[in-house]
Amino acid sequence: MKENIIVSPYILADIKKLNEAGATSILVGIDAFPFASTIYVSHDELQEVRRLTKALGMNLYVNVNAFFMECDLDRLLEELAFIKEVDVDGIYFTDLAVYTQASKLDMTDLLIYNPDTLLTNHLDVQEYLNLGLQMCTLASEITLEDIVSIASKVQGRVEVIIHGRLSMMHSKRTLLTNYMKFIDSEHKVYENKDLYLIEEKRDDHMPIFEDVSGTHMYTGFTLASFEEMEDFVGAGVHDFRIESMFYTIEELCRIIKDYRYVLEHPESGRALYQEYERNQKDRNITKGFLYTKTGAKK
Amino acid sequence: MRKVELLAPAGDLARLKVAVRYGANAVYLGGKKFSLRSRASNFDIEDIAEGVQFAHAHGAHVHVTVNMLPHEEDLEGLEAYLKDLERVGVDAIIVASFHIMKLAKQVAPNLEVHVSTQHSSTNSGVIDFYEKQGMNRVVLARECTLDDVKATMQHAKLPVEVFIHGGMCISYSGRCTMSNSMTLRDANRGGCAQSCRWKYKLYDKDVPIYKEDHLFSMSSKDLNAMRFLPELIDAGVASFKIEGRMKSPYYLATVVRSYRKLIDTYQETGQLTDADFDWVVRELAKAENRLTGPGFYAGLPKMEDHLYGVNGAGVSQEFIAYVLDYDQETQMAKLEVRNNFKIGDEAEAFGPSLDNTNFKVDTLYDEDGEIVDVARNPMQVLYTKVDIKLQKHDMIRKVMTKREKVY
Repeated sequence: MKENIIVSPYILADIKKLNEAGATSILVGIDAFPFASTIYVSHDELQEVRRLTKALGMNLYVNVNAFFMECDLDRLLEELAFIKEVDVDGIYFTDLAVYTQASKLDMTDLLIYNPDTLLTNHLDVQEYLNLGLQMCTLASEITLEDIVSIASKVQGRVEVIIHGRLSMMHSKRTLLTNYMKFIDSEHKVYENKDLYLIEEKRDDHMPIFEDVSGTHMYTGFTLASFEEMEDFVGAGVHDFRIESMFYTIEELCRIIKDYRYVLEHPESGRALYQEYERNQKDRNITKGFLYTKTGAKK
Repeated sequence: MRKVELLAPAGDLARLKVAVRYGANAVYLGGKKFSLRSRASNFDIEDIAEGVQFAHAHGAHVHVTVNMLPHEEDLEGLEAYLKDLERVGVDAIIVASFHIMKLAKQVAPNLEVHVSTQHSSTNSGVIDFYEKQGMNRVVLARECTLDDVKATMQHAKLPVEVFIHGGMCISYSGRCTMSNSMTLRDANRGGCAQSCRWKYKLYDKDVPIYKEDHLFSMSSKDLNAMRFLPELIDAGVASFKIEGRMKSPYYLATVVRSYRKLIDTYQETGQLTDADFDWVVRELAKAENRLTGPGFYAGLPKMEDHLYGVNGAGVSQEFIAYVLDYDQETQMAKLEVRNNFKIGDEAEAFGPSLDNTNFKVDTLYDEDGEIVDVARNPMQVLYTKVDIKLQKHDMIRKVMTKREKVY
């Protein structure tokens, strides 16, 4: 079985390049409910992406990862009905209202539960999979040992985020706009993806941006999992997501090619990791939490 | 009028008793296992049993937070723990893990299961989901506006709990890993370092766009939703939660008593006046050390709802003594010292059934009958004459003038 590599394009024209690089699935945000995606598509564009991905033999996943307010629920139902009609291969979600609405349309088997931090043990994952979901995304803050344990124990598909800056915080608040107002600055912060924070006593550069869904903050490190791919596959993980945010299409294609290579040549994982670590110092390449257990105390 | 629940935090047994005595209908507390807020002094099962006994004797309920998101190694002992909670009479557990919710329903069916705010539930679709899974209550996310809550309540199939007062997560609850990334302390396993309240330099590419004297911070003012209380009650909200398991007994008594008064007044008269709110504002200013605001209830928080360049507001009064006993004949009060005070200080007594009453501190005596000029030893027992009819469990605070308004 060919391992599933899931990425987001920046523009629709990127899809073919991503396919050529070795990606097997495309994940896009939708205009109706934007939430921290590299791209948002209209209904017409979604249909176009569907035709294109089918022609390329790729899966099409849609990001419906927002939190919904009561006033959004009818529109959510309509949007899900449209997404079903387009015949996508999967729907990422975090708000369980999506499950409730999808149940009404008999489409829960398309759902991929992606609640950022919540899935940290095999029993929780199994409970959600037992709802008839297609797949669950494991939290990024758990160790390789935990991932292997979970993947080898659950019946069903789990996805692991293997590369990129990890989401660290979603706030509904317009944190950047409010701050600029406070310091009486007109500097453009809305939808500006070149912004980053440095904590006053630390050195990490942590990307932050604000859009219509609020403020999103990412880790000061970039996760790279080249060395761990063999363990993941051995444990039964076959779905891998690369976080596309903060890369160019050329950089993203290179990353996909390298992971595809590592999947075929696991012995090359260490050298690749070291090469990334050496050559991308500004990205602060690390193994994230794969070997670092977090707890109640430091 | 339908009775609503005032739900207060209890960091330990002493605070549980204070919360119940000062008007909470229910308290929530964390056990030593499977709970967030590791720095709060958490309860072992014997403490929980004692707390339940006390609360039930006073007509109050006990909710236990089992809201950790467990990792693989955290799961051991869970089933026995849930059975223990049921055995000692706990009324409800507050849970974030779906597995724990389902397991509790299976092995401890007498426990109500309340879905934690860690799930950031913002609509009736989520409530439908949990209703179908057999859960009993959903705690709404603090990101809901008043209109969102009202709209949700029209379709909610389960009782709903909302936050009414206390600290605010800057992130959707449960979705923040700043603490994990920056300090290796897991926010979802009790280790939150509150990194959102730190100071940050903000850059655009390599250009600094922050002000050196006012660095970027995500710190939010605390929530004070008292003015929304009538509409939330009318909307059908079942429970009003005060945040702060780590707050002091004095803070707890002050906040619980304030909201008790507002709820009771509204339920008795059908209205709350500006005078009612003004009283609470003055009251809270005596105990609260962080500025407060309306959270999301009034809409998306604005610049003025954040804490920039300031961390605290400073309390206007200080808790100085706890009343251990009072002899009506001699008018001698037996006090336990909490903070420094002296003969002649202006003080204010208050209690579960005592309105705020000012008096001047009279001569102080220790347990040997010796005169004490200054009460400076915390927990020391002193006696003094007070011509107010005090009762055991009343509190005394020193009148100060640090601050006029909270919000």
